[in-house]
Amino acid sequence: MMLAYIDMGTGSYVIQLLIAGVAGVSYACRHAISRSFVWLKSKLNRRRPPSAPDRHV
Amino acid sequence: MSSPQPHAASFRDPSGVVFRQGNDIFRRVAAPYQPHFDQAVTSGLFKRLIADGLMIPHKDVTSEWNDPSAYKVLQPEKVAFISYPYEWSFSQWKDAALLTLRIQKTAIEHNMTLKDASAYNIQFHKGRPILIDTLSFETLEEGQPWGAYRQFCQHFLAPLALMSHRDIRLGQLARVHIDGIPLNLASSLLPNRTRFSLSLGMHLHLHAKLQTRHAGNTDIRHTRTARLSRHQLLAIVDGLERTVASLKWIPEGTEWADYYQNTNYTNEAQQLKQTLVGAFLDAHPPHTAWDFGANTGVFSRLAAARGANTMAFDIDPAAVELNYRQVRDKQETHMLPLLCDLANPAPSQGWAHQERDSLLARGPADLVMALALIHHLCIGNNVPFTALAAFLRACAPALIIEFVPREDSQVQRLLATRKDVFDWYTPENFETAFGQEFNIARKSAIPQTARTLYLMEAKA
Repeated sequence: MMLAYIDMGTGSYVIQLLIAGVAGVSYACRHAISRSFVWLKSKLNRRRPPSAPDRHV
Repeated sequence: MSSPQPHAASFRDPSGVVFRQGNDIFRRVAAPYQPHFDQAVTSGLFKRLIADGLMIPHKDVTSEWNDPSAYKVLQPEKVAFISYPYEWSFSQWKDAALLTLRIQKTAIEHNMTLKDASAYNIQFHKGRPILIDTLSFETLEEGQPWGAYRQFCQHFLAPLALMSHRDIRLGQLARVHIDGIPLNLASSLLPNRTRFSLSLGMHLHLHAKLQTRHAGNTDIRHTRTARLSRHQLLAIVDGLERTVASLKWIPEGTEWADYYQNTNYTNEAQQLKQTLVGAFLDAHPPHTAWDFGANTGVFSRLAAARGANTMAFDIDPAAVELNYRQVRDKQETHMLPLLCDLANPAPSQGWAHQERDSLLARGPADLVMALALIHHLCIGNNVPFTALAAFLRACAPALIIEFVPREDSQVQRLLATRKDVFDWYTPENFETAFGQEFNIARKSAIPQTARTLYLMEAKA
C-alpha cells in the first residue's frame, strides 16, 4: 500500500469505528427494508390477475 | 523533453506533481503510484467518473515527454479559473461536498478509495463542480477506515455546518485555516443544539473530542486492529451524504440580495443600461471577463451570453448564492459566481505564499466590468480614483465602468452617514485619474439616470 500522506489521526480512526457501528446497523436496516419492498412488489405483481379483455369491441 | 519543475503548490502528494508548460497544465504520475493508477484504469473507475462528469478528463501525453521519473504524464482539460473554497457560496460548497462523497462511493464500488478529500481538489468547470486531482485514489485495503475522513470533515462538513447553523460568514475561516477548519474550533462555535443531532454530534462534536483525547497518543496506533467492513465504510459515506444534504441556508436579509428590487432605476433605464453594456461588450469582445460587484449576475450574463468565461464577483454571500443557483438550475456553462470583498481580495497564501494564488495572480482577464461599484469603493472605502484605476488595469486591459455622480441617490445615501471629505469625487477627476491607465474608447450617458458608462482600453 502506498503510504497515505494524510494522517487520519487516532481520534478520527476511533470515531469511524463508533459511527460504523451505529450507521452500519441503520444502513443495513434501510437496505433490508428497501429490498423487502422490492420483493413484496414483485410478489404482488405476480399474484395480480391479468387484466380482463376489453369487451367494448 | 523532461518535464519542468513542479508547480509551487504541488508538493504534498508523493503520487505525482503538477507542472505548467506555457498555458498548459500537466500532471506527472510518479512511478510508485503505478499500481493505483493502473487499477483506476483497469477497474473502469476513471472511465466511469469522466463519463459521469465527476472528474476532469485528461489525455495521456507520456510519449511526448522523455521523463524517466514519470510513469505517466497526463494533460488534463483546462479549467477556466481556479477558485478556492473561501470564495464559494454555500451551495457551491455543499455541491462540492456531495460530489466528493459520490466519488468516494463510486471509488469503493471499484475497490478503490479517495486518499484525500481536499476542497481544493474540486473546481467549478463549465458551471459544475468537478474533481481535478486525478491521483486522489488508492487501492482499497479491506478493513481499513476512510483515511481522508478527517479531512472531509475539516474541509466540508465543519464549514457547511457553521454556515448553516451559526453564520454564513464563518465560511471565511477557511481562508485562515488552509487545511480545513479545526474540528475543536467548529465544535466550540456551533450552537449547543447541534450536539443533540446524531450526525453532527458524532461527525463533528464527538470527533473533535476524540481527536483531543487521542492527540499525541501513539500507543493506540498499534492497537488499530479493529476492521471496518465495506458495508460499514459505505454506511459512513452514506451518513455523511445525508448529513451534508440536510444542511440548508436561505439567502435572504442581506443588503444586496434584493438590490435590483430596491434600486432607483426604472425598468426601462435598467433595460437601456443592459443594451449599452451589451454594445460595449460587442465593441471589445472578451474571452474572459471579470465582473466586480456583480450582484446576482444580470450584467455578467451579457458577457457570458457572448461566449466569455465570466467570473461574477460579489461581496454578498446571498447574491453569490442566488447567482450560483441560477447557474445550476439553468445549466449555464460560462458563469462562475464567486465571493470577493474588493477592499480585501483573496491574497497569495499557504506555504511560501505560493500554494493559493491571489486574485490578481489568477488573472489577467481580457475585460473587467465595474458597474454601479465606484461609489462603494471610493466613498464607502476611501479608495482614491488613481488606486482604483491601477488595480483595475492590473486585472484586465479593458474596462467597462459606470461612473455614479455625487447627485445620484445611492451616493447621497452613502454620504448621509459619513463626513463628506470627497470633494475630489467628480467626473472630471475620475476621467483624469483613469486617463493615466486607460484611453476612453466609448462614453455614453445612461438614459433616465445621471450616470455615465465608459468603455476604456489600457494604454500601450
